[in-house]
Amino acid sequence: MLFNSFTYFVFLFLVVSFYFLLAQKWRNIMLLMASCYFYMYFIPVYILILGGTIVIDYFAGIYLEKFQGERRRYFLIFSIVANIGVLAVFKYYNFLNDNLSVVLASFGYANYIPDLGIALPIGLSFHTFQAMSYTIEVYRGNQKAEHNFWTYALYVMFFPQLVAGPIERPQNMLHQFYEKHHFSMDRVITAGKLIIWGLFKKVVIADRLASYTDVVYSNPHQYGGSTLLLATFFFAIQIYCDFSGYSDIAIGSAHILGFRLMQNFNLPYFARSISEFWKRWHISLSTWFSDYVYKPMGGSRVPRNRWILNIFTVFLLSGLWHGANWTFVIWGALHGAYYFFEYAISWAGRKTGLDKWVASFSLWHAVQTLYVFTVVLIAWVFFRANNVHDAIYIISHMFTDFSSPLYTGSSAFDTVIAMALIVLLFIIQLFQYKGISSIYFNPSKVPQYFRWAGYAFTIILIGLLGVSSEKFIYFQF
Amino acid sequence: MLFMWNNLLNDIGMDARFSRNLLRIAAFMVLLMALDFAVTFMLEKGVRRFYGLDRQADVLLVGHSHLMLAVDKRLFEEGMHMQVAKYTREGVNVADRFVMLEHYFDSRPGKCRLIVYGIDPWLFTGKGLSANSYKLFYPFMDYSHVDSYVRTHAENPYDYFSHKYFRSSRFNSLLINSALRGYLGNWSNLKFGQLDTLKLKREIAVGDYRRISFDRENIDTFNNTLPYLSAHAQTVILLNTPISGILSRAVRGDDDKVMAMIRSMAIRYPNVHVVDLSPEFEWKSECFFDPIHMNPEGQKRVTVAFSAVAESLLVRTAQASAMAPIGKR
Repeated sequence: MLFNSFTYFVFLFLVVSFYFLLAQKWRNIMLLMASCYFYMYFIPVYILILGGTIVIDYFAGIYLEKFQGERRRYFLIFSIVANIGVLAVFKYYNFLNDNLSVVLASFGYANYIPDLGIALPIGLSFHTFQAMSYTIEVYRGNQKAEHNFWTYALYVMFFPQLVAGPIERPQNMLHQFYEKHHFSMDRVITAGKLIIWGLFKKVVIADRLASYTDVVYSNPHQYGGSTLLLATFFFAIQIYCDFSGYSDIAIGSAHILGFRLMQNFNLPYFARSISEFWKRWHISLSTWFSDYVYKPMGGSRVPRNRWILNIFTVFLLSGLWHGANWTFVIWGALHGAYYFFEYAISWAGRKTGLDKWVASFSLWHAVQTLYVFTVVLIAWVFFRANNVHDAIYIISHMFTDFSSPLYTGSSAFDTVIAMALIVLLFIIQLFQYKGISSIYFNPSKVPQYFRWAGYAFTIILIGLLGVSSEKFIYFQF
Repeated sequence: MLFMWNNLLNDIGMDARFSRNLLRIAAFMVLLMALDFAVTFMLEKGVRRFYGLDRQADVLLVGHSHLMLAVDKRLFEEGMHMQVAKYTREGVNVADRFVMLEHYFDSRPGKCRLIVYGIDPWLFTGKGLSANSYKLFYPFMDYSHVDSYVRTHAENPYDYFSHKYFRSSRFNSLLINSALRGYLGNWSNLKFGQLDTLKLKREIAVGDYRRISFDRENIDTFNNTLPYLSAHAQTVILLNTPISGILSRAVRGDDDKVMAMIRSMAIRYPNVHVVDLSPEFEWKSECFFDPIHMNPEGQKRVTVAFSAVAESLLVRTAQASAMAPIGKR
């Protein structure tokens, strides 16, 4: 069930109605049933995989709490292996097998192990990471084990964030299932605004840009530099609007029911450095890696070489998390390289005093933002390209080969509209960045009548320019 | 107890801002509906201008993209010294075209001097045109004929009612473009470029082209369209716009059969004439944008040629009418 479908909104309306009509003790059961229905709407049988990991992690949590000493560690390892194992089979098996074939072929041997011809369960990486955060936190003693199986199952399966996050932590989520939520019209209104904004980003901007990027990236060798550059620029906006739009609808849907999900995006393209970019982009994933990979490895409180290894490990894993393809690994590695480049530059700036000098220029902020956007743009090429060969071709041509005419899309007018919408998005986000208009549930300084007109205009634009039936990009992860 | 109606009622009772928020939502809905109406009113006005539905025309052109790109409205108006309405939409089938005629005469009752109805060798072919072509008519759902056509073909009640009551959803970027062009008075053919004959030959060699078929439903609908056309205009021209000779050679035989069928149906109506411009242009590849659509230069040449034919037909009809006994006029 897609968030941008009429079916979803009927579903949400029914869930909200039943939730507030039911007695407290039935509410979680109803939410769990609704979440199962939501998940089974895609490929029903995959709920068995999800159910399997839920059972394992539920008991792992209880035994982690019950036992002391070394045995606790075994339960944690068992839980992590079970979760990573599911990921490895469904997401990485074919990738590993393909690479094994390449290695064997280089030695003159054939690989007779067959590939798995099965579809990846939707949102697998999201809910396995959320499940792992539970057992790790119980192991660390930051979270008590959840003894009610249905409540734990709901923690993993809560439908607004089941298939594409935000990846929640048990400390933030589990206790909310025990709170009594009262119906509030204020919440309906604030959530409604966020859902409308998310829908706008998804169906008006992201899906419109997809029609251009899909054509160009499916056959990049046919196009010149200007087209490749424009397609990559469009993809940068598309993936932001697609994923942040999804997150907005997820957070808004949960908010109507009285649940508070974490903010997942905070104007990432206004970041002034790569490290800041990762504090603003897919926040729930970057903090997950920080909490459960980077810090346990020692974080920055280790010798420099080890710290470099820690950073690279996190970025490479982040790349692999997104997909089983070398393009994603390179995407992660590029971000790691950017991080160290920035670190070296800022170190040199501090040593020479140049950092204070350049910071005195009024345009320095804009230059930094433009730099971050440009390097992120280059990395997106690897994220979007079908293979490394295509990605290298695109990068080597998108800043040089401007002799070929610009592909204006299947309709030049649509492409012009897409550009106008990007300008509109930029203006709105600039207001959000300056704290004038609201982001998430923050207050706004814009007069009420302007805001109302803005929301009405946004709905009209969804009706006029909405493109239907495009799946969310992050569902595949 | 499973359901606790009191739960919700208590929540509402405790929500001090409930009534105020309800009023705010109601006020917002009024604002939204007003904006929806205003925006779509402007867009519909532009679209109606673009298709010539905003004023009584002497000549009505009805067809799909073949006719759209083959006849230049401005040039045709200059050639004929008449007001022309060019109501052509991409991908409309025979049934859609009948609805277009009904729609036009719903909004502009009365007879036209001339109706030009686009025909082509695929007129009776069901495959290839969009099965969702009824969606093209969303903007005109306020007209009863169009409304019932959309209601009959809508995928589900949501499809129908969402477009009926959320007016903005009736439009898309293509229609916004048409509305803007309507306001700007721009009917130019924007399909710049020339037919790649080598590519077309390759495609035909591997069988990659649209075959002609004879679907009973389309034949019947066309048969029912002819008396309607005949009754609503002094003269009707069924215009076969040019297609590339390379393609027409591939569909030869079926192509002739379609034209013969059309002629045999049209002969029953004295004011209905078939004009076939394809033989004159089919080998002039420089006039084509693709195998079935003219580029701006081709459109210009086709319009000049067609204006001459149409004018002579109108003169002939006028003379015949003048010579006819008074009771038969």
